Amino acid sequence: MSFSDEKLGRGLAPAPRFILQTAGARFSSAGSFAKRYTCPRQFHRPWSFWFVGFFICLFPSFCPAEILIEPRIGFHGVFQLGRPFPLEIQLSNSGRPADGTLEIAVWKGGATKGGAPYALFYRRDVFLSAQSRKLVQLTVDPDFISRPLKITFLSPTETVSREFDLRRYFSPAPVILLVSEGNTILPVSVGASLSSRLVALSLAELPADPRALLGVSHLILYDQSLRDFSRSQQLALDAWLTAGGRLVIVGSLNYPLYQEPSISRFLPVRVTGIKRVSLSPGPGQSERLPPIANVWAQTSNVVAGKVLAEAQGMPVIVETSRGKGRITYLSLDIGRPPLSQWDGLPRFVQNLLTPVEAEDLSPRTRWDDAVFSQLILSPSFISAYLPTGSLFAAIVGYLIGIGALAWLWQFQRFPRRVLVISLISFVVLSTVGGYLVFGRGGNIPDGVLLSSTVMESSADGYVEAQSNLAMFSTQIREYSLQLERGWMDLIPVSSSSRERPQPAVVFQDGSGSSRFQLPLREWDYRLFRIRFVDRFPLRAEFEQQGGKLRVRLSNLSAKDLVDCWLVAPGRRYALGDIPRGASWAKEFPLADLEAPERSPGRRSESVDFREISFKDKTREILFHSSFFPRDEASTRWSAGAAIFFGWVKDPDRRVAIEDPRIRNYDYTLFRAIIPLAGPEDE
Amino acid sequence: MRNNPLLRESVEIFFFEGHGFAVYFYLLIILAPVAFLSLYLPSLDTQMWSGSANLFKVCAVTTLLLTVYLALRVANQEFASWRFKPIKRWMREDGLGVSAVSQGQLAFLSLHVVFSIFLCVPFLIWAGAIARTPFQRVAVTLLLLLFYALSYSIWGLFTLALWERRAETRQVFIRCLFFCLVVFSALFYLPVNPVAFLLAYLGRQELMPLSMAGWKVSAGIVHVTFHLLIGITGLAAYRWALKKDLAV
Repeated sequence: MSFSDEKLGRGLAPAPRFILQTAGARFSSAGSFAKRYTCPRQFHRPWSFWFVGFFICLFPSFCPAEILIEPRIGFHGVFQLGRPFPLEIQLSNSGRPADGTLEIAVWKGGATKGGAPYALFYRRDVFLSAQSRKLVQLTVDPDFISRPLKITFLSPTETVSREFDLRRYFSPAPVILLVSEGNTILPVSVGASLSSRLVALSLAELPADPRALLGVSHLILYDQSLRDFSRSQQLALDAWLTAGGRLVIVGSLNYPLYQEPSISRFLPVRVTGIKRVSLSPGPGQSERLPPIANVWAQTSNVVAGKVLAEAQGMPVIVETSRGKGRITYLSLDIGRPPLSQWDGLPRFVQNLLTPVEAEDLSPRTRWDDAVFSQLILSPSFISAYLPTGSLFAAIVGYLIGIGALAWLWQFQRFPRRVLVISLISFVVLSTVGGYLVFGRGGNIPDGVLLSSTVMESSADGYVEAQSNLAMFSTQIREYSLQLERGWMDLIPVSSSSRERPQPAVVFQDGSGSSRFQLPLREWDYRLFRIRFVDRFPLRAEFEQQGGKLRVRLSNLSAKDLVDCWLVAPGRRYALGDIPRGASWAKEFPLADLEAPERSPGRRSESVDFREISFKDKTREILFHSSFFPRDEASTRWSAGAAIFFGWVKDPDRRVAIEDPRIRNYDYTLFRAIIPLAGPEDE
Repeated sequence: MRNNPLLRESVEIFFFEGHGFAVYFYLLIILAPVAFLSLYLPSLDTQMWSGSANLFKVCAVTTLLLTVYLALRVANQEFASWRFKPIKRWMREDGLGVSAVSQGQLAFLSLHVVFSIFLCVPFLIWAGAIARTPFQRVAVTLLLLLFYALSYSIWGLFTLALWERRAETRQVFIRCLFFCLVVFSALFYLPVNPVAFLLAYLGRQELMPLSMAGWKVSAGIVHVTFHLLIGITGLAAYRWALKKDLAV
C-alpha cells in the first residue's frame, strides 16, 4: 500500500467479514443438524441425509439464520477523535427472516468528561427478509475509544454481536472530504501537503445526517453534479455549513454542471462559461494565484460574497458565508493541465483550505444542579409539577368539614348515629377522592421537560441555539425525547453527587431525527445541553457613532419578541415587544465610553443585568443564573459590549415528548452581543 | 367491653361532652400546614429533589410524633383531668378489679389512637399519592403508626396508675419518656428510633444490623422486638401499678 493510498483512506481494506453463529439457532448446518438431532435408524442412510438437505433448501424458514455484520467506520475508515462519525453497517441474512433491532453500544462520559463512564446505545429496528442484505446508516458519538464499540443484532430468536476496536481508525485532526465524479482531480496532489486526512468519497457516500459531518473541516466539490443528492443529504449539508462547515467548490471544464440549481445555490457566483486565462498574481497575491498561462477557468458573475482574487477582470476566488460556515469558490480547473502539472499545486490548495479558525464561541450559558435547584425552589415553578392549589383546597375543605361535623355533634342538630356515619363517610370519601385526584388523575404530570434556549444571532438569518434541558420525573418510567432536525450535540450534564448514570438509548431513523430514550426513577432528574443550528431571520445591526449607538432591528421571523431590552455599559433601555414583521432603527446614547479618564472612579464599562427583572419568575431565574451568569464567562459583555435580547413568544419546540402525561415548558431568548469600541480602539 | 364503666366514662367525657375535641384539633391543625408547606421546601438531594418527594415522609413523621405525644397525654389524663373519676375510687367504691380497670383504659386508649390516625388518614393518603409512595408502604406506615402510638402510650397509663395524685410528676415523666424514646434514642442506636426506622423504610434504605458477640440481627427485627418489649413492659408495669394501688 502506498503512502498516498493510505492517506486517502482508499487503501484501507473493508473490515474483515465475520460470520457469526447466532445464539438462538437450533442447528447451523446440515452437519450440525445431523449431530444434534437424534436420528431414528432409517435416517442414518445417505439418501435420508440428502433428503433433509433438500427439504431445508426448499423451505428457508427452516434454515439456520446466519447474520453477517459488516461495518464501515467513518469516512473510508477515518474519523476525527471526539466528534460524531458515520457508521454504515451492512447486515446480510442468509437464513430465515429476522425481525429485530440493531444496537450499537458506545461509551460516554469518563475522565475527559468529568464523570463516570456509561454506555449509550443507538438502536434501529430492522427487518431482514430471508436471503437478503440491508444497509443501515447511523451516526455515533463515543466520548472515548479505549473501550470497544459493540454492534449487536437482537431479535426474539437470534442474537449476533461483534466488538470493534476504534483505535485503529481515528485521526486527531478533522477530516477533509473530496467529492469528485470522474476522479479527474488527483487527490494525491491535493492531499500531500495537508495536515488533515483527505478522503475521497462518491456523492452517495456523503452522510444524510449533519452530525456525521461534524468531524469534517472542509468538503471539496470538484466536477461533481449534485443532481443525485437526496433531500436528506442536502439538508445535512446545509445544516453542517450553517453550523460552521467549510465548502470549497472547485471549477472544472465541465461548466454546465455548475449551472445546475442543485450546486448553483451554494455558489457565490453565477457561472457563465469557460475560457483560458493567464494568471499573473499582483503584489501580495503570490500565494493566492499561480503565475501560469493558459489555465482553464470558469467565467462567472459575482452574486454574493467577497472576491479574494481575480484574473483578467473575472473572479477567481470568491468567498461567501452561510450561517457560521463559509463557501469558497475557485474558478480554476486544477484537475487539468497545465495547473494539474504545476509543482506548486499542493501548496496552492493548502492555502485554499485554510484551517478552520478557533470557533468564536458565544458565552456559554450556565446549566448545572445549582441553577436547577433555584428553579425548583421557585414557588411559581412548583405549581408546574405539583397540585398546590388543589391540595390547599382539599386541606381547607377537609378541616372545614370536620369542624362542621364537630359543631353539629356538639349542638346535637342531628342524631349522633347519623353524625358518626357522616364522619366516617366524609373521611373515607375525602381519602379516596384525594387519592384519585392526586395519584391517578388531577394535575400531576408524570414528568416535566423544561427547555431553556438562547439563540445567538449568527449571520444570514441563522442562529445557533444553545438549549439547556431539564427532564424531571415524578414516576419510575422511560421518557422518549424527540429531537428535531438540526441538532448537533447532546451533552448530559454530569453531576458530581450523582451515582453512576444509567445507560441511555438513542433511536435513529433514516430521516435524521432522533429519539433519546431515558429511564428515570421517581423524583429523579437529568440535565442536558443541546446545540442546534436553525433559521431565525431576525436581524439586529449595531453601529457605534460617537457617543451614540444606532440600532436597526428587523424581525422577519414568524415569532414575536416580547420583553426586549438593549443593555449597554451604564445604560439599559426597555424596548417592549417587537412583533413579527416589525423593523425599526433607533439611536441610543451611550455612557462615557470615550472618556473614561474623566470619570476614573466609575465602572461604566461593564454591563449590569442585576436590575433587569421579569414578571415571570422562571424567566428571571433563567436570565440571571443561566443566560447571563455572573462568572468568568461574563467577561465578554462586561468588557464593553452592547447586548440586545428579547424573549421569543411561543417558541418552536426543538425537543419534545409527545405524551399528555409530560408537561413541556419552553423558554427561548434571542440575544445579540456586540463589542463596543473603546477610546483606544478608535 | 361496652359496659365497662371506665370506657363509658372516658367516651362520655371525650366525645359526648367534647372535652377531647381539643386533642384532635391540635392534631389536625399542626398536620395540615406541615403537609402543605413542606411542598414549598424543596431541595436537591444526591439523586432527587426533596420537598414533594419527601411529602409523605414528612407527613408520616409528623403524624407519628403527634399521635405518640398526644396519646401519651390522653393516657395520662391531661385533658379534662378534673372530669375523670380517680382509679382508686373505681376500685374501692365501685369494686372494679385490676383487669376491668385496665381493660377499660386500654380500650379507650386504643379507640383514641385509632380515631386519631383515622382523622389523619386523608392527609397521609394524599401525601402518598403526590409523593408517588407505593400503596403497600403507605399501608405499612399506618400500621407502624398504630403500633408506635399503642406501645408508647401504655406508659402514660402506667404513670397515671402510679402517680395519680401527682400530676406534675406524671407530666414531667411522660415528656422525658417521649423525648428519650422518640428523639434521643437515635443517638445511641439508630434502628431503635421510630423516626429513623420510618424514614429508612420509606426511603428504601437498609439500617445497620445489630452485631453482638459475632452474630448479627437485622435492624427490622431489633426495632420490632424493642418496641414489643417497650409495650409489654409498659403493660406489665401498668398492671403492677394498678395492683399496688389496690393493695395500698
